[in-house]
Amino acid sequence: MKPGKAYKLAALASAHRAKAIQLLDMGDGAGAKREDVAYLDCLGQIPSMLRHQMASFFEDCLRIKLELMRR
Amino acid sequence: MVAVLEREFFVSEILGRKVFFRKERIGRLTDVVIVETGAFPEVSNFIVDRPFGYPSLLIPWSKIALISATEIIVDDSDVATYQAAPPEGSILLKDHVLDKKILDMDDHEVEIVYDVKLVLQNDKLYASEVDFSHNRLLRRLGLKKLANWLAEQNPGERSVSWIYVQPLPEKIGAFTGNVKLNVLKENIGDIHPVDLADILEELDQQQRLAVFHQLEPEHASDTLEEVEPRVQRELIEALDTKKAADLIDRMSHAQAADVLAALPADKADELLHLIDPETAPKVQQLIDQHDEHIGLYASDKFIKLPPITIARSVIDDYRHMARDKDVVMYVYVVDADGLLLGVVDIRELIVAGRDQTLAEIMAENVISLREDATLKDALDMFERYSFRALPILDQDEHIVGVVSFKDVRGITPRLN
Repeated sequence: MKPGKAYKLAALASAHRAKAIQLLDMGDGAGAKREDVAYLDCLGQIPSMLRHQMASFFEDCLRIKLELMRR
Repeated sequence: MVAVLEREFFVSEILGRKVFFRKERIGRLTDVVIVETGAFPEVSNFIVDRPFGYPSLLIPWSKIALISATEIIVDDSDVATYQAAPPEGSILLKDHVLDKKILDMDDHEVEIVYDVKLVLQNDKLYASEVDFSHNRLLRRLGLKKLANWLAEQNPGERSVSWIYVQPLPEKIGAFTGNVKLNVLKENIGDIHPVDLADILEELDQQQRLAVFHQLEPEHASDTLEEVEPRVQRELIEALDTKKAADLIDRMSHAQAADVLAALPADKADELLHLIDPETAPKVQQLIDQHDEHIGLYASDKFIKLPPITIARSVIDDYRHMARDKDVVMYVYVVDADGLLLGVVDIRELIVAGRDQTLAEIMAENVISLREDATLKDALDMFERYSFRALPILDQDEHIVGVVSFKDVRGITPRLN
């Protein structure tokens, strides 16, 4: 897999994860579950050898997403 | 014997001064003629303009009796004796030197002569220095206070002795287009081709040709190699084709190819037919390689951003980001090392969610060119994919440039 694809999957995973947290806060457990499945699906597509490399990028994206949601 | 208030003064200070033949006012001083007699040129005549309908006067320096703060007195009363034009080849300080460009060999730059200092010595008046300082220009414009203030702020004098000034070309007054050049400190033939190339690039077209025509063929050939392609094209277009071919024949194959590659294809082909038939095929081969290299058409002015960048920040800052860029229709997404991760079309960016990261919306499968790609490769790819720009990647997938379709559109590659 090209690095660009791994970055894209990590970014999409963070977006799904952030959405899941937001939905859970709003009491939408089913919606949050759907987003978490999508989040895990994205992470699952990242090859294991790139997953470690993408971890910090994922964390940064998630932090920014949550900050933007709180505004 | 002439009487003057100051032994040193500037030519601009006396131009326009009223001229009297004893007590009769006859006109105003409009120019000063100098002749090269030794290290410093000597003032030979004053040119006096008279009211409309009367011919100008050429008054020998020996007839000048007084230069005061307001007037010039001529020690004669017979005006008709001095009705003459300046002799051919003479140098007129106002017409030929003031406000003209000068090649400063200290900096190898073009300066402008704002004034000429005159010095009285043994009853003869000499042009002693040329002055490049803006103070002189301001004084000439009547802004003495501002000139004085600037002189205090920036005390460094910017003048050079006439010893280092050489008029060029020789018949300066007869030169077409009123081009007056001077080379400081060295003969033009002594200037290194690299420096001369810099100077030529600074000059306007007519002056550039005047200097170039002065050069010996070998020196001209070396200089032609060094000037930028725009100037090469202009010089070769202005030269007789056989002479241009002769200059190119004196270059190495690679240098000849460099010069010819900068020319329109038909002109290059015409010259190739005139150069040595043994070297022409080798030069042609080099031109083809040169012409094909896509790096020649690429720009390093494009927008590249990290993958974590939020779409809204790009949209908000886009005008600022795009200001000095050549390629603005795509945002290239790169990691900290410049590795190309993806590309975002600016239109996709606008329709994307404002809180999305570039990594989310980028196309990660980027169609790109390799560094060693040819112009033909690029044209083929533009035709196939209809992109407006293509990134160029090195062997490690780092982005090294972007070639825009508008920059290669209409160019026919030599290799097909």
